[in-house]
Amino acid sequence: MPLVDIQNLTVTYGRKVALKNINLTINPDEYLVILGPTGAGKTTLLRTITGLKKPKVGKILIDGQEVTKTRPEERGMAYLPQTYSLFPYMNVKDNVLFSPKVRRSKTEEEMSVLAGEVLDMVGLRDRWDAYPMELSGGMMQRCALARAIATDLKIFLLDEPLKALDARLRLQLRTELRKLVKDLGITCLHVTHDQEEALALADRILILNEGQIVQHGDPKILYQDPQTYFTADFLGESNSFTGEVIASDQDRLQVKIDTNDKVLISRPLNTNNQDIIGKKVILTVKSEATKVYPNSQSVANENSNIFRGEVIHHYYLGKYTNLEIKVNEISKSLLAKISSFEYEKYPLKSKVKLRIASSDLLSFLWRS
Amino acid sequence: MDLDWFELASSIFNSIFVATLATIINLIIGIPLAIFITRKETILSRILDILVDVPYVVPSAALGFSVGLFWSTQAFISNELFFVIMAHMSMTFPFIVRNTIGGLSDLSIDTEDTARTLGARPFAVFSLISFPVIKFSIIAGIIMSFTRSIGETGATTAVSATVNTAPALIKRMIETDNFFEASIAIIALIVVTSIIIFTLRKVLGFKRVSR
Repeated sequence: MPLVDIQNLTVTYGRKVALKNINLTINPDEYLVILGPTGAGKTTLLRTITGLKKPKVGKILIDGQEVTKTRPEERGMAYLPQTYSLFPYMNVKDNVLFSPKVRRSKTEEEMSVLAGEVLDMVGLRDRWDAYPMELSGGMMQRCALARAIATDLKIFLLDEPLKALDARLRLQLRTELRKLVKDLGITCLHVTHDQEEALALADRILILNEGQIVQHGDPKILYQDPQTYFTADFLGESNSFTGEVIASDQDRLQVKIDTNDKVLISRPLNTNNQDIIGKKVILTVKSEATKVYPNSQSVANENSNIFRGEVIHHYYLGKYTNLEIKVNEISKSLLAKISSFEYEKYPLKSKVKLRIASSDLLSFLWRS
Repeated sequence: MDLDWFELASSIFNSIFVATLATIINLIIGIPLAIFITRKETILSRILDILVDVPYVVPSAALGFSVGLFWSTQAFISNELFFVIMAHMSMTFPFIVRNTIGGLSDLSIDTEDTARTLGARPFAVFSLISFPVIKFSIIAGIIMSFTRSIGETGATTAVSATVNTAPALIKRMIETDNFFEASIAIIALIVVTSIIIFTLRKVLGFKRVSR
């Protein structure tokens, strides 16, 4: 039985529909990451699950019990908003013990032991008497996490918990966060707009856009085999082409792209491949699957999915470099992600070939 | 006119009594009103937010006259002291409400929401989370409301000819050219009020240094 069961949930702010007909189940011990652009409804979904926002329509069940009208303090979920929301006039220890104190769920002695254990877990024992404004961003994040852990609650709702941290600390804490959540057997809903964070943390990713679920599933499947163009385009960096299907079989499509008569060979549609000749489609390929070669190098299958162009920009990203390549025949630029060790092979203004394997080129029906 | 010490003492007592009651009523009504204005996004909360400032712009005599007019039509009440307290309350409630709104604006609603999800009921959220943050704003409001009420003349004389507050007495003394007696009364009022404010600040824990 799912631990959290959301049925036909619609939430509005006045006339604006923030969430529309959401159906979602979350299993015990699952780490679900909710990913989506700004304004997609991610925070609203968390706040509705906690009871801080009332839905217009729909039900929320926790462990089989309906809690749609239950007050937030009675739902048994620890919520961490984006700002950590530590209580400013309480020290670290009092912040951590807030929930056991107000719930009167533990004796003084038990609370003292609990505070020691939890503060050890997050590495804040020696700062127990510090006030929130005396803590660094990382410490505040760990203090907020410790406060959630001390609740003994089994559902955590984390709203961009790593947002305010610097890159290095974010990387370190996200590893610690997942380990902690898994070790304690907590079911976690984590909202972020950081794709890398989502891919690294999630058992399952849910993509939300304009208040609706676009797709959810295993991170690897979502990245490599998305069901919708939005998912394909949203996750990672992509190159896209629109065109018309001129031939189709079980394994591939032949698409004449809009900007000239060039024909690209792609994977078939995920949905119905019947009667699609003449239909408009959109093709997309990840930048790391857009292979680049020096112009002088011969490439296997020279006539299939090959473009010729000129390097016009380097975007150095540390481990990787993105090359922006101007392709005159289709009047657009394509991105190719290469290892930074290789980028000297492709100086600015050098002529290159780009090749896209048909198995990496995804196709979706065009919806204007 | 010789200074009537008993009359002066009773007028100062009346002023303190009216100011204390008006401030207490303002606290009881004003804090929930400030919470409603800052925490609820409704048309009513926006209208109230604007109306709170009206007593600042209306002359005190005019406000006192309107309050007197309203309450005098209520058949069940005819006590002039009650009218004076109502007039002072109307004059001074923006000090409590506006200061509390200022304090609440410094506290993110997320902090209160988080406390609720951690198991705190609304009263616990107010007493443990919101109150420590807005405490000093409320104290500032209390002092401003109290002192404004102590010095209020126009509204008092507009609603009552019999209730003798210290400013009403001083006004009468000046009108009858008893400037020396008026000066003594003013000094006495300042001394007594200063002692009360000093005691209030001590008792309520108003600190010069904030964390």
